[in-house]
Amino acid sequence: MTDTVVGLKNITKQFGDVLAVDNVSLQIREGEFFSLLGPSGCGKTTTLRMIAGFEMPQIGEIYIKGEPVTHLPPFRRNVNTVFQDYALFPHMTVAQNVGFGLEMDKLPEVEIRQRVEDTLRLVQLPQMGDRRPSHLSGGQQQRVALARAIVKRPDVLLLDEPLAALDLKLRQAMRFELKELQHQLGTTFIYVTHDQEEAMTMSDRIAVMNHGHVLQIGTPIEVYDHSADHFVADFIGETNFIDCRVISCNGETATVLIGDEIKLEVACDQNAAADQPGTVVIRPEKIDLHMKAGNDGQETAFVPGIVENMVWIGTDTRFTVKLAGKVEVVVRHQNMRLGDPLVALRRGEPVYLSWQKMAARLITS
Amino acid sequence: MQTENSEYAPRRSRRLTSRFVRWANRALSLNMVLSFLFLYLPILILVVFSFNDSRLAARWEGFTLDWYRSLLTSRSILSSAKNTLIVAVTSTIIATGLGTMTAIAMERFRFPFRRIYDGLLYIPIVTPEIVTGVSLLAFFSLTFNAINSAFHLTGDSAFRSGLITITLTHVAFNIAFVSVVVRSSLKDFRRSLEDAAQDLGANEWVTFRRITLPLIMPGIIAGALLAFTLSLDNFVITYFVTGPGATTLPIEVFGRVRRSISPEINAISTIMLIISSIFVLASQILQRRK
Ligand SMILES: Nc1ncnc2c1ncn2[C@@H]1O[C@H](COP(=O)(O)OP(=O)(O)OP(=O)(O)O)[C@@H](O)[C@H]1O
Ligand SMILES: [Mg+2]
Repeated sequence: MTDTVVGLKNITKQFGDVLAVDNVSLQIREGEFFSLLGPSGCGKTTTLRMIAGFEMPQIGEIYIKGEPVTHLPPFRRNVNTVFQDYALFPHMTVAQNVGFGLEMDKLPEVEIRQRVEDTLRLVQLPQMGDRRPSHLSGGQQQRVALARAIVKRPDVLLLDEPLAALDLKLRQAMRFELKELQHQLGTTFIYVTHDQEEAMTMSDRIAVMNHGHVLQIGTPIEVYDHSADHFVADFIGETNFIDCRVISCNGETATVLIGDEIKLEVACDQNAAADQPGTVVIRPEKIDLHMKAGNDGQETAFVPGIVENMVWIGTDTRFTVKLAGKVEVVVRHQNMRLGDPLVALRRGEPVYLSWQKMAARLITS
Repeated sequence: MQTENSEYAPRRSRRLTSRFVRWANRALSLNMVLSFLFLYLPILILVVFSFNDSRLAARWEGFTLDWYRSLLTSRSILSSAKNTLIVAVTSTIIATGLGTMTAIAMERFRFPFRRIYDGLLYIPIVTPEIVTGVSLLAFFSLTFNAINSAFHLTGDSAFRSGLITITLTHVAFNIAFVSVVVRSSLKDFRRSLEDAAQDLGANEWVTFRRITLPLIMPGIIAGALLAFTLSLDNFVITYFVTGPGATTLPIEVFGRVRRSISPEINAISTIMLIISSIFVLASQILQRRK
């Protein structure tokens, strides 16, 4: 496994009674943008701090470039961190902040000056070296923190919600800049965030966490389209959860009964026993709306329903459709054509729903 | 009837209240003025009369600096001033070092009975000075007696109270004050700064020297200034642990006052007042500034 830069093996970390990280294993690959995504308190920061060396796990091993580093102090690990509060040294200038790590490596002064200058240019802060951090804007401080962490050319760059303190506009602009910077440097980034949109747009792979567990690891598309469980599907994007009962399942497709009448064929990753309760998961934008029943072969049988509510939001129209047995489903219909008859639908009118066979999935956990 | 009463009652009481408030406000203002007069008038008189061209403190006879000049020629004043400075400087340096270390230990480390140590640390601040003085006197005399009799020390070679005991005592009470001041600056200190330094390759010692120490320095200096001031004008405790030849300024002043209040005493007191005020003010400013 030469292309694994950071490996976590069965890591468990407890603070008193709080189980912050519970038996987590991760393999982070060379050069990838890896995100730890999850709600507040799920153990993202703790995981990152164990990789950096600020916390020691009670159980498990951490490897960096194949070497066990579990009990090494932070100053003996070739990883650097961008802290959420930036943690810039207030009594030093920007250049002294950025040069601090190189100074610790006892590099010659000329080289330090050169590398500090180059790095400040890379983060688009040339000419700022003599300023104090307190005299910079939030966005500029963020760039200094970034410069200070990348100037040592670490094996891995750890970032703990680095954009959380910025305003929305700047945050969105910085997403692309960070991604671009990562591409230029080729450094492995481990990025902590609770913002699913941030994780989806920036990451090569995402680990979704909750209550100290890693629930799913995958590309943004995998975690979105093949969410491992209810929590992941709910945390990432908008989803319909429809209670059902399994009729039969062969490990790939399953037949389920929704309410008393609607019998559907859905995708299924795990095996499920007959008569077991489950949930059908389907994203609102993956459902097609029709005025009339019909079948084009690609799609499932048409499911009839009644328009319960509709909200026009420019690019989309968001319908709530009531199926037989009081099941409500949200549908996002893209407003692609002018004079679309579907957009003219009114509350109480009948419609038919359909979707690609594999778009609806059964989850039983 | 009842409804009528309840309608009128609040209005009347409101009028009463507002009159009472006005009266109370006036009384409080007067009280404040009187309190300040009571506090500062004696000090003001003392300062003014230190410049009075008369041996008698009763009447203003004109401006002079004679009393300040005569201080500079008084052997006992100069020697006690020197003692005071030696004690203050030495005890401040030692107490600042120990107090800072105590503060860091209390803020940063978890150890058994930490809470109890924490409480014990504040006790010297609230213990009546007379109690501290008596207990230290007993402690030193017991210890010195034991040592002197064990090693058959007599005369000049015997241990006895003096500048060293005064200094030790001042160190003891100043550790508490310094550590309280330094702890408050450590509380404001962001731990992530230390994490960042270690993350960039600084070991614990370098992190302390390059990041922690410079950032809590205003707190340490504030603590030192406070310690210096407390040592300069401490009388009660010092009085108990002093020995022959180890007279500090407050003790010298006390000794002279027992004979008579002379203008020189006013002059010394004025100087001590000014020095203490400057140090306390500087300490306050350093603690405020963030
Ligand atoms: N030093 C600590 N002492 C005690 N408990 C801690 C400590 N650090 C973290 N915890 C607890 O561990 C759990 C995980 O915390 P962590 O900071 O890793 O969460 P997080 O996912 O980063 O959350 P957030 O998005 O709010 O930053 C929380 O319940 C937290 O209260
Ligand atoms: Mg966190």
